[in-house]
Amino acid sequence: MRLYIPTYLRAIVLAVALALAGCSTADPLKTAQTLEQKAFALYGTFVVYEEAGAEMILDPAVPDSVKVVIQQADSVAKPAADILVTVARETSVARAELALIPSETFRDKLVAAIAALQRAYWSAKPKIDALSLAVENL
Amino acid sequence: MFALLPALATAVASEFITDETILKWVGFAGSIVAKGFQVDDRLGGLTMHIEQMVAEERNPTTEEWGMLQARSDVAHETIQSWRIGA
Repeated sequence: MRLYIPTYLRAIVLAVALALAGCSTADPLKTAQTLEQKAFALYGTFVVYEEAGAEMILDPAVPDSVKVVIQQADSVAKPAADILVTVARETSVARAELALIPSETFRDKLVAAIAALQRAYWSAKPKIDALSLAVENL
Repeated sequence: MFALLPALATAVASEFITDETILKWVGFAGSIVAKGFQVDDRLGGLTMHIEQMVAEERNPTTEEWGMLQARSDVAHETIQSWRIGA
């Protein structure tokens, strides 16, 4: 039996699939309160999309053109995300040092680390957003 | 469970459709939906983890960062080792 499916019907079904795929309700970024928690939420979100991207890369049903977009988005997002982790860890160390020895030196170090973490966060965010779009909206 | 969705969609569609191109397209649509649900599920888990962090009034530990980074390294390696036509 051969069934003809009109193009418009294919478009509707694909649109429904895309809408379902993009109907994420959980938002770790809104839940986080401190800067380090927000950095963790952003990095965690990146990891979730990167893992989904890796699964799509291995999926034979996914066209090569889509895989290329995911690969390119990941190659841009990964270095920025790794910098975010490094700076977040430095901020935690600076915070711990200040708690241990309250001094101007350690206070200045923490202020500098927080400023660097904010820069790393805003530098990584658009790159991670681009990866999530590549994976989720195709 | 979600991983079975593309195969299920293709299997159901193949009962009615014999065109290979359309079947491939149905499998791809199923794959998109499955990934959407998986991502939603994992983001929900991450959100709960952060809710707990907020409740405990603490920042992420070195171990928590390390676990995420290890997962990222594995996924990154998988994505970047893929080549067109592979």
